[in-house]
Amino acid sequence: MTLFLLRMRPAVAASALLLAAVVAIAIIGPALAPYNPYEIQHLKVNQPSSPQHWLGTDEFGRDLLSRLLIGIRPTVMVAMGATVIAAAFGTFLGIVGAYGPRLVSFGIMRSVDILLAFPPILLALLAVGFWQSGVVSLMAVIGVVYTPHFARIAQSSTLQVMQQEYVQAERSMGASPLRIVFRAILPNILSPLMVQATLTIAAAILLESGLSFLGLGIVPPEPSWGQMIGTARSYLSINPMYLVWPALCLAMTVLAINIIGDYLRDLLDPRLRQ
Amino acid sequence: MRKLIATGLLAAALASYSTAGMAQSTVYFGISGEPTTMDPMMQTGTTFRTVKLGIHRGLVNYDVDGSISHELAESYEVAPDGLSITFALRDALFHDGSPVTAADVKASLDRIRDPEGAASFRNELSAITDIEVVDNKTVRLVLDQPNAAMIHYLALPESVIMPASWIEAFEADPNVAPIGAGPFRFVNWTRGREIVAERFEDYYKEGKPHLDEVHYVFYGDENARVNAIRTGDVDIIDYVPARELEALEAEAEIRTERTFGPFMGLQFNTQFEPFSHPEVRQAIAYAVDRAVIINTAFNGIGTPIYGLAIPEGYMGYSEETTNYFTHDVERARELLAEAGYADGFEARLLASAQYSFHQNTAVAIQSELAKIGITVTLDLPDWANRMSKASVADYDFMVMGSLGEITDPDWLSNYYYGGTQLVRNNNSAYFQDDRIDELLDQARVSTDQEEREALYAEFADRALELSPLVFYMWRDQSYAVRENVQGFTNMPAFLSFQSGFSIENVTVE
Repeated sequence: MTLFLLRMRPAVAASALLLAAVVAIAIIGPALAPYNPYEIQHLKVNQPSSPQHWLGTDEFGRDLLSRLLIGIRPTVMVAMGATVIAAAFGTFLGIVGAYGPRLVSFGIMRSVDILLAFPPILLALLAVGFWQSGVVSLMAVIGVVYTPHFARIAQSSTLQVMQQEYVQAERSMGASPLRIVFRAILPNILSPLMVQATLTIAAAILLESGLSFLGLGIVPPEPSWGQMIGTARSYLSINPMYLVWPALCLAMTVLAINIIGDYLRDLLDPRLRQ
Repeated sequence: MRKLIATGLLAAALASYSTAGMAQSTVYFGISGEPTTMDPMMQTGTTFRTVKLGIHRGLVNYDVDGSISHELAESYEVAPDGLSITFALRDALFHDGSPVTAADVKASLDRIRDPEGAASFRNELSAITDIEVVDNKTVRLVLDQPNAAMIHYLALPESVIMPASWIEAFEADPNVAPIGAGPFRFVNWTRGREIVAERFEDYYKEGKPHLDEVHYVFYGDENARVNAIRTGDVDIIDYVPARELEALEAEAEIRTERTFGPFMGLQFNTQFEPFSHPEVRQAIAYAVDRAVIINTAFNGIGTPIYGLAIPEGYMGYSEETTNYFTHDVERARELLAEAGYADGFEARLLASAQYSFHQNTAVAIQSELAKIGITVTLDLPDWANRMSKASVADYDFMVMGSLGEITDPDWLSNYYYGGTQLVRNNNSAYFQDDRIDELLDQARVSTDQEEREALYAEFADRALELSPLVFYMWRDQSYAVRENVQGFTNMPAFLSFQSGFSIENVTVE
C-alpha cells in the first residue's frame, strides 16, 4: 500500500489520503466530534478559535469542528448516492440507447439531449421545489440530474465497442443480447464511466452545497458544508473564520476528487498507458 | 457613487442655467424589497407602505408620535350614538391639481369595502355600511354599530384617499401613474431598481416637505443593504439585521433608529391532537428559555415576553399579564403530564428558510422543546410557500413574527377572534372560544374607556389561560440613518412599519 502510494504522483497521493480521511470521517465522524454538534450554548455564540473550541462556534454557540465533522456525512452520502444512481440509470439508458431498437434508442437519446440542455442547478431547483428536502430526496434529485451525462458516455462508448471484432464474434456465435451486454460490452466501456463517476461525485458535492446554501438542501439543525457556508455568509463581519472553515474543507475535497479523476483517466486510457 | 453623480449633474445644471437659490436636496432610501403593486389598498409589506406614505395620505394617519393625525380631514366628529363619523375635509389638492372632495373619499373607501374586491382590510372597513356625501367638503361614514377601532383602520396606509377620476381610469392598472395627496409626487418606477418621487409643491402642510426628491432604492439582500448605507450610496435603510446593529452604531456617520415593534412566538393548529389541550400550549410557553432565542436568532437584541404581546402603554397591558409565565422546565413537564403527554410527542414546526431569524427561532425552539420530550421536526420552505401552508393550516405549529396593525386594542381580534374564518395568517388555526369572541365584540363597540379597560383585562386573563398563541420576545425593528439626514422617525412599537410617514419631515444637510 505504502509502495503503491509512493509510486503515484505526490498530489495524487495526497488527494487519495485526504479522500480516505473524508470517507473515514463520514463513517466514524460523530465519534470524533469533541462536542455534541447540536447542543446550543446561547452564551457562547460566534466565538473565534480557542483552546476549548478549536475552530470557534457558530451563531448557536455550537462547536464548529464538531459540526464540520458530522457535516461530512450528508455531504458524502448525497454525493456517493447520487453518483451511484446516475451511473446505474445512465449506463443502462446509454446501452439501451445504443443497442436497443431504433425507435426506443431514438426516444431515449433525444430525451437525454433535452435534459442535458438544462444547467444542473436549474433542474435540481425545479425538482427540489416539488419534493421535501432531505438526504434521500437530494440523492435522487442530483442522481437524476447527472443521469444524462452517463447515458451519453455509455451510448457513444457502446457504439464504438459494438464495432469491435470480439463483439462481432460473440454475435456470430449466437450469444444472447444479455450476454453480449454483460460479458463483452460493459467491461469495455467501464473506464470512461469510472472517470465520469469521479467527476460526478465532485459536481454532486458542489450541487448539494449549492442547494443547501440556498436553503433547499439539508434541513437544519443537520449541518452540511454548503449550508454552513450559506449561513456563515451573514456573519462575515462578526466571525469571518466561520465561513473559511467549511469553504476550505469543501474546496480541498472537491480538488482532491478532481485530481484523482484526472489520474484515473490517465491510468485507464490505453492510449496514454506507457 | 450615485449621489456623487447626481451632485455632479446638479452642479452642471446649476452652472448652465445659472439658477440662484437653494441646492437640490435628495434622499436615497434603501428599502428591503420591491413593491409588487402600487395599488394602495393592498398591504403587501413594509416596503410598499414606506413608498405609499410618501405619495398618499388618508383622512387621518398615524403621526410620528403614534397619535391620530388629521390629514385630509380637518376635523371629524363621532355621533353621540357612535353610529356615524362625520369628516370635514381640508382644502387639499391631489398631485394632478384637482381638489380633494367628499366624492373622492367615497370612491376610495367604497373601493376598499367592495365585497368583490381584494382590499387587505376589506373586513375591517366593511363595518361601514354606507358613505354619505353631505356636501363637497363633508363626508359621513355610517356604521352598523359603534366601533372604537374604525378611526384606527382609517389611519392605515391602506385606507388612503385617491381621486375618483383616477380610480375610474387606472383601477385596472394602478402601477402606471399613482396619484395621491401626499407630500411627494410619483415620478417613475424603474423595475428592479428604484421608485422616484419629487416634492409636491401644493402639499397642504405649509413648508413641507423639505426634500426635492426621494429615491426608494430596492435592496433585497440584507448584506447589500447594510453595505449601501456604509458606503453612502443610500441615506436611510430599513430592516437592519440585529447582528449589524452594533457595527453600524460604531460608525461616526451613521445612527440607528431602534424600536421594539414586532413580536416572535408560536401559532398552533388546534386540530393537531396534542395542541388542542391548553395545558400543552402553556407547557410550551414555560419550556422555552427566551434568552436562547434572543441570543441565537437575534444576536442578543430583543426583549423577552412572558405573557401577552401587548406593548407597555397599550390597552390590555399590565404587569401581571406580561409576567404570567416563567422559564420553568419542571412546570412544563407537569403540565404535559396533566394533559396526558408525560412521554412527550412528535410535532412539525413550520417556519421559513428565507428569513434567517425565522429559521433560527425554529431551531432554538426545537432544541428547547427537546428538553421536555417534544420531538420537533422542522419544515422550512421559502416565504411564499410558508404563507400558502399557513393559509390552509398545513402545520402542527408555526413560528410567528408579526405585530398589531393598529394601536387600538382591537388589533387583538385578528389574532384571537374565532368567527367564520378560522384559518388566518395571524391566528391559531381552528381556535375558537365563545367567551373571547364575546369580550372582543363588546370591547370593540364600547366607547367607554373604563369599560373597555375592564373587558380587555378579562380578555387577557382568558387569553393566557387558554394560550392559543404563545409569545416569546419583542424583536428589534431598526432603521439606520446617515448623520446628515434629520427628521426621520422610527415610529414607536406597532407603528414601526408605518415609519415612512415621517419622510415629510426629513431634511438633509
